[in-house]
Amino acid sequence: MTKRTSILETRNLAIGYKSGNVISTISENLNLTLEAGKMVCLLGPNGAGKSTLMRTLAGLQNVLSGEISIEGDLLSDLKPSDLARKLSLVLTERVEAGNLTVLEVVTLGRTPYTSWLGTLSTYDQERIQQALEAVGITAYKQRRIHQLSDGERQKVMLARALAQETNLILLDEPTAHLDLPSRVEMMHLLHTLAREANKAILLTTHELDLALQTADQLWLMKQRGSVATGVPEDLVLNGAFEAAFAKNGFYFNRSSGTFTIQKKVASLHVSLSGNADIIFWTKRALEREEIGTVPEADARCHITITETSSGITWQLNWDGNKSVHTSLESLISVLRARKNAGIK
Amino acid sequence: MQINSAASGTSHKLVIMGLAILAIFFFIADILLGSVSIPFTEVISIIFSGKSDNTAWLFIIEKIRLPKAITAVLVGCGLSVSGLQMQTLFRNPLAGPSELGITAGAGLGVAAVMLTAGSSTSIYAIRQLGISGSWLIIVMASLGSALVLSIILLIAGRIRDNVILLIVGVMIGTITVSVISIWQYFSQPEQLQEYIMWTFGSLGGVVQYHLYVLSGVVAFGLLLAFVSSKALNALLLGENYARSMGLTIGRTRFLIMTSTSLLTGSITAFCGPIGFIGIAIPHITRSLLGTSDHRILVPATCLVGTVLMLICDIIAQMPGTQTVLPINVVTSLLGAPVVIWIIISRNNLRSSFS
Repeated sequence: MTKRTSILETRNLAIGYKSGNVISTISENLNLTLEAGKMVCLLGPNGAGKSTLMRTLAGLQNVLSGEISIEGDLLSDLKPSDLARKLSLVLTERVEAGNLTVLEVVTLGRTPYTSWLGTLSTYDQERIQQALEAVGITAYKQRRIHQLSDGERQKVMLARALAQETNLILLDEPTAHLDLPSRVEMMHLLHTLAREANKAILLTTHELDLALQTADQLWLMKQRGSVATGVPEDLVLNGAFEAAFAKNGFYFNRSSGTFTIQKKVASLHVSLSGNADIIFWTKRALEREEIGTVPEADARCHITITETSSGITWQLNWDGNKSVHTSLESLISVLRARKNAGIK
Repeated sequence: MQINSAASGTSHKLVIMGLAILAIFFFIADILLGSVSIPFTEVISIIFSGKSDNTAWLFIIEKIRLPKAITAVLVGCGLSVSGLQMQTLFRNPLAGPSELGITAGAGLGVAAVMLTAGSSTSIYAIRQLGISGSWLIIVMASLGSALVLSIILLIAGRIRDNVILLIVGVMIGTITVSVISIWQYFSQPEQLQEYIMWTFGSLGGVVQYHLYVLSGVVAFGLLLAFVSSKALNALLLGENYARSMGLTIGRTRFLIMTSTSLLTGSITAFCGPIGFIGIAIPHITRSLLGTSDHRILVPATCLVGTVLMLICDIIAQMPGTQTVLPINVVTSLLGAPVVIWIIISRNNLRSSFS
């Protein structure tokens, strides 16, 4: 049973930089709430102020005005040692202590709890073990950090944050530098952690589609610094998502949940029939060639897709001229030739 | 895991044990060897019972060789631990007391005492000053090194790039040296000679209560370093992570700075600016133990520093001859190749710092 408790709350928060007498406000009037058991993604275009917001929430940067409270205590009132028991961080910066082993880095997560010399109790050992297991890096805990891939490194830093035993975890671009499978794995891991360990997790990312799929809530930061919050699907349907990333030449495709390069007007139209999955991929290939699709009755050209045990075949019927193709590459080359001939 | 960490724990213990045995061996060897040859059994009996039939030997051992060997131990521990702390604090493999101009800062403090005092004042005169004089020179040297260190830290707050920071440190060191040069230019020849003699470095000048003062200050500095080893470990991940793990950066920096200034300042005041120990020993220790855990590194660095400083001192005495080389020359001759080795095997270095 997940308790509906808010771990992090901001009231009329204004963030930005102050150097001397010059105050540059990035965002103000932020009233955000982060609940336990939820994974929240902070999205926004480059330069919207995501990092500034993260740094401010983490206490690494001073607030301009307003307040932040973590588990009911004001951030400004918390001593660093107390804050370390409530909030842990995973930063974008690459850790440059390659001589440390994975286990040693995760052990550092216990720093807020150990004595002045850092002696570990049995409980500390258990927490470290648990953190290693939760992230799935027990197998290489004796390896040195510099021997690890970026994905593994990021997991180590997450395990370190888990060992810190805080209800709130902030991650600044945990998926940067990772390849696609590692990114997916990381997001799912974070989601699972939020659910199972009832932690409040806030992360920034540029992975829009992954965020849409996995986040319980989105904080959308627009170019002017205003933040829209809500369940991902709501933000997509009310247009906030598209507005935040509005840029010429791009449009947000609601049906696929991805951003697509602006369509050009198709000069040729074909109709497709067959397996829905294959139609989807065929359409994609055709769109790139500026070939549109229309219902069967309107097209001069029809493609019938059949899938057999030996593979997929595309049967092209162009005004009665039939040809059979076993790859999209050969289908497209024929269509391209036809199209070019048609234009001339 | 238990087995593995236990195994690495045991290997650390073995290395430290070996180092301790080496340290004792070279400590005795340092006392044994010198321009006057004294039989081994006599040396042992003088060390442990403090009695000998030959009063000349007794005097040589008790008043010259023993204090010098103890000074070598103090210098070896102090300089290398302060180098270790700086390398971690600046996250830079080339940081060290002499490289970042901290030693030059201490030299400025010493110059202030030696060159501004009346014409009768020389380092030997200061040694005659008694306990307050030695405190004066320690305080001035520590303040000088703290001044340079705080300027560098102040700039370090603004600069993230380690290489640039190192260049800044070297520049500040150069400025400090120039200030000393101006001072020297307008000084009396006798004062100048004393000061130049001081820059050669010597382990032999620390006797009687000067030795107690130096021992006390170095012990205190080492204690501070050991107390801050948990903080130093947290700093390995960078300042932001350290802060997120509950470290008060300001206080930690102050603690490490105090320890480094005291160690470098006091040692430089009495023994002159001894180079290369501070930068080279931490690297040797790290590669010897293969760890970055400061709870192990701080004591191990002390031991390695002790061993190498004693070896340097033995070489400096040139056993069998009447000549004594300045200690600074010997440590540099030994240390410079180590620094070159560090730069050439950058992979080795990268594993610790990037």
